[in-house]
Amino acid sequence: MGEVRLEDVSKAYGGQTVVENLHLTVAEGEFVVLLGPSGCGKSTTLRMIAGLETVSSGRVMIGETDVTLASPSLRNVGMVFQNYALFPHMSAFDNLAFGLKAKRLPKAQIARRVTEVAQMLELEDVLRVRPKNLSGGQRQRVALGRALIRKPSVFLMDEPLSNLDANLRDHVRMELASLHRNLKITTLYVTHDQGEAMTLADRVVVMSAGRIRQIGTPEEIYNEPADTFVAHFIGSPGMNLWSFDAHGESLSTAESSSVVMHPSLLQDLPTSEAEIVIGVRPEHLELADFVETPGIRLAMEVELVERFGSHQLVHGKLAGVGHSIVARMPAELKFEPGSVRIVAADIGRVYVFSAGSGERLHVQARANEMYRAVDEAWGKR
Amino acid sequence: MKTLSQSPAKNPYDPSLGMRILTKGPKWIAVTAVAVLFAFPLYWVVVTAFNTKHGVYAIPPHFLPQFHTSPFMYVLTHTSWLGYMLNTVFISGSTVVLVIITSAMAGYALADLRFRGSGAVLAAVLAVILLPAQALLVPQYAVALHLHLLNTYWVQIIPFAASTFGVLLFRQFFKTLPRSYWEAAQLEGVGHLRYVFRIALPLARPAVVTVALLTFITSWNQFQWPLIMTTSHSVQPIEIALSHYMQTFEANWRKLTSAVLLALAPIVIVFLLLQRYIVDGVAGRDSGVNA
Amino acid sequence: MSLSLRSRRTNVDNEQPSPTTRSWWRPSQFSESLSAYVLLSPALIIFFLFFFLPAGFLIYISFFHWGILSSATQFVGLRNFRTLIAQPLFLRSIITSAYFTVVMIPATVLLALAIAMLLREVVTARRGGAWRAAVFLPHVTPVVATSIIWVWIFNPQFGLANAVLRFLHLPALNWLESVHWALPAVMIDTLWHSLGLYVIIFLAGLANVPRELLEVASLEGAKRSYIFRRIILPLLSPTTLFVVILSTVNTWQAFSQIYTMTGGPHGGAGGPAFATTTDALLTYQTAFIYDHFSLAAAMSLVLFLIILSLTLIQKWVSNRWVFYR
Repeated sequence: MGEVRLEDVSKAYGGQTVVENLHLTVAEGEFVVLLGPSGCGKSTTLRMIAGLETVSSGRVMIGETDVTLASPSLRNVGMVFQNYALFPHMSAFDNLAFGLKAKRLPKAQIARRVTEVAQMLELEDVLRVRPKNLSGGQRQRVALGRALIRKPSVFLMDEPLSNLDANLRDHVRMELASLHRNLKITTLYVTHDQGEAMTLADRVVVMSAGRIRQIGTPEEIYNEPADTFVAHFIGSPGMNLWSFDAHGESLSTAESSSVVMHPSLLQDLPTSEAEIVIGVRPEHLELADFVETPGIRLAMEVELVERFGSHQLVHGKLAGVGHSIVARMPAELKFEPGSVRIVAADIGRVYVFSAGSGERLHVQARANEMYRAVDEAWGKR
Repeated sequence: MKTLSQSPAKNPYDPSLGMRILTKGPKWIAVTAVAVLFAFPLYWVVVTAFNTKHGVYAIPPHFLPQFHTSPFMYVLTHTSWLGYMLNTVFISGSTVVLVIITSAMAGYALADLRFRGSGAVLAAVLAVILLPAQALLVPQYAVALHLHLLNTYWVQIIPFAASTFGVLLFRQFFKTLPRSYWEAAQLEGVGHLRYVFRIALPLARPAVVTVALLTFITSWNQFQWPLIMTTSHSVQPIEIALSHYMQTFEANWRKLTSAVLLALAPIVIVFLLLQRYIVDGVAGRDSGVNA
Repeated sequence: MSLSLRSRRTNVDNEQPSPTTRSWWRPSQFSESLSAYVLLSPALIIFFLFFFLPAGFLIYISFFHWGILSSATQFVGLRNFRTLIAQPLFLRSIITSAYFTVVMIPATVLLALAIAMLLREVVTARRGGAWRAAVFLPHVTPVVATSIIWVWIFNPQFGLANAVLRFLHLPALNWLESVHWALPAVMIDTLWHSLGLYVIIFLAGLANVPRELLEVASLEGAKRSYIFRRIILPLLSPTTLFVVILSTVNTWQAFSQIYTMTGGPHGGAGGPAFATTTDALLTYQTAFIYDHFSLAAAMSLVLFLIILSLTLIQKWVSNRWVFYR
């Protein structure tokens, strides 16, 4: 009923391709987040599902019905806009009741439904108030209520938290999560904030430049990024990415060079790859002494330290090679700008990507197996 | 879960191509009909002016222009339309220049200067357009009479040399100029007056264009005012001339419409070339237009 | 820094307080005020001489008997007004103006809004500006020139209007020479000439309705007519009020086309049996054809008051249905 499917959907506008070849299936009741930087096409995709943008090619299905050409009023979709789009000349009550009134439901029934929704969203006291006299949080709840009151089969949200104050944002985020748990409506949520994506989503769709880069659970996105874009976009700060000549000098297994890699990571590289990109997340870089099975070891010239109270970000350069490094370290350690420290990451936390396509090379799979094996060994004890 | 390879899903919403043309098409037809209706009388002038003697009085009327130019040439050579035209050009041109000067000065004062009574002055400026024009004609005539302005070029220029619209437009524009321009000028020893004309005004080109165009059109189209305030041909604009030609050419419609064509041509050409600026000026901003 | 209420409102760094309060007499403020008035003087002098002075003079002089040139004026109180009311033609002219305006306003507003709604979609397409230009073009043309065209169109024998009627198998009309159809002919000309302005105003008003509101409404399942009634019209109401007031004022004061079509230099006859003698036309004739300046002054004052009251009434009535954001 509430399943959403995009089949090879593309949109071009004025000669420019905005969105290309999207394939996506959202299961009934699932909470899917479209995540990406501005301009990546996520809002356009959402609007195509709503029917507010035309589709240049491909099909949009809601449930069993092909809605590609259907007007928005027929799709039974509820949507919350970034700036709420409340009707300024109507009270909160009338805003909530709008869709029901348009369908000419009997007054008593409308009143009942509105009271229901108002209670659920704590709006009972402000039903007679006009939007301009409501607080930001109240306006957002009215927008939510208006979208949900018709019991739509699909619920769409376009950056709903971006207009809220920071502290309100966390609170509302949790409310949204519990709302979804209660109502179980298929939800598509657009944001550029990965925190929202990671906490709210059943699955995340990472997009950039009009294409889908990866679809997966938050864990998959974080632990198994499909390409360099996803790897770098996720994480705060994003994954360190260093490009190297695949068979050259700087990558060696010898102890003396500034970059030392575990040999298994360099085995079986496809010969077509002249350059590869090595990735390690800042939070996985530790002082070499503390890493048991290092996948990579680096000599870092410390340049700048940003202290955050609970942790610190150490910025530096790879000695001799020049790549910039960011490492997230506990606050207690001391890093002097100008000093050279040896940092390393566990073998399970080192990723290898192709420099040309950016895709992750499945060299990692074997490392992951080793990692899991070690893990299991520990667990079995 | 259906896969792509299975037969097309139930799709009640897909109108065939024909149906889609049907829903969008009527709108375009209607709009084109409206546009044609509005443009048609002007086209009719051209047709009538250049028609043959027989064609003009034909029933039913002929719609295509015949390019029979002798009545038109007659009007060109046998009337003093040129004199009238030059009068109009002079009057309109002077009005535009003066309006820009007075409006820029006043607009600047209201935008950037703080002085006692600024609220009252603004209210007064706004009040001017609230006064009904027709009701003031008699006393305005008395004022013009006592100032010895009657039957001159000046009576057609000076009362229109200040415009509420111009003042408001310049005021709005000058409010957007950064105060630092004025502060830098002040350091150079430049006073307000010089600042307005050397710095602020040259930067206000969009406002100048809009005010100039709208003032020009209003001035060109003046009829009742010169009708009341002037009597001699030497200072009268072309609108008055047309009114005379209605008598002169009585039922000679081809000559009369030729004269009309002459009077219309400049303003229509100006409009066609600059319509974007004119319309934006009236609407206040782009009323959602693409090209 | 003292602790008084006043100083708390000024800037912390001890800058000069806002110059509009109490300090205009300080040298720097005085020179700024002076400069301001110097800059304002040309515009203000013109406004005073040709607008405020005449307005005041009008109120004053309509209670006098005066010839325009002579300085000998005689206070006659309300005599001018009593003479006016006794004149049937004057009352007739008011009725004619009222008839003209009452027909024109709804026609203008409805047609302008309809055309604006039609244009709205076209105008955003490529090269759509041409359609808008076509609708606006009549408005910038000189009224006399175009009225002459309309006289020709309404010519009973050879004019286009009767040609169309004959084509539709309807009886031909005498238009400007008939008592019943002269004013409608003027109305058609006036509509053609003035609609463009109001269409543009409505277009701007429509553009101000946020697109998102319309999207949401559509998403919520509302049909287009419902959206029009419940969203577009209420949010357009300030614009609509503006158009109503503006068109009322303009229509009541219409002159040039009436003069050209039914009066002309023959002495401004004002239509067959005075059918097109409006308030404005009669005032003009009284003053400048018949030289009855006292009477004309009184008529002008009446005109002034009529327009003022129409505007105020409309504004007052509108408070119930106009929504301001």
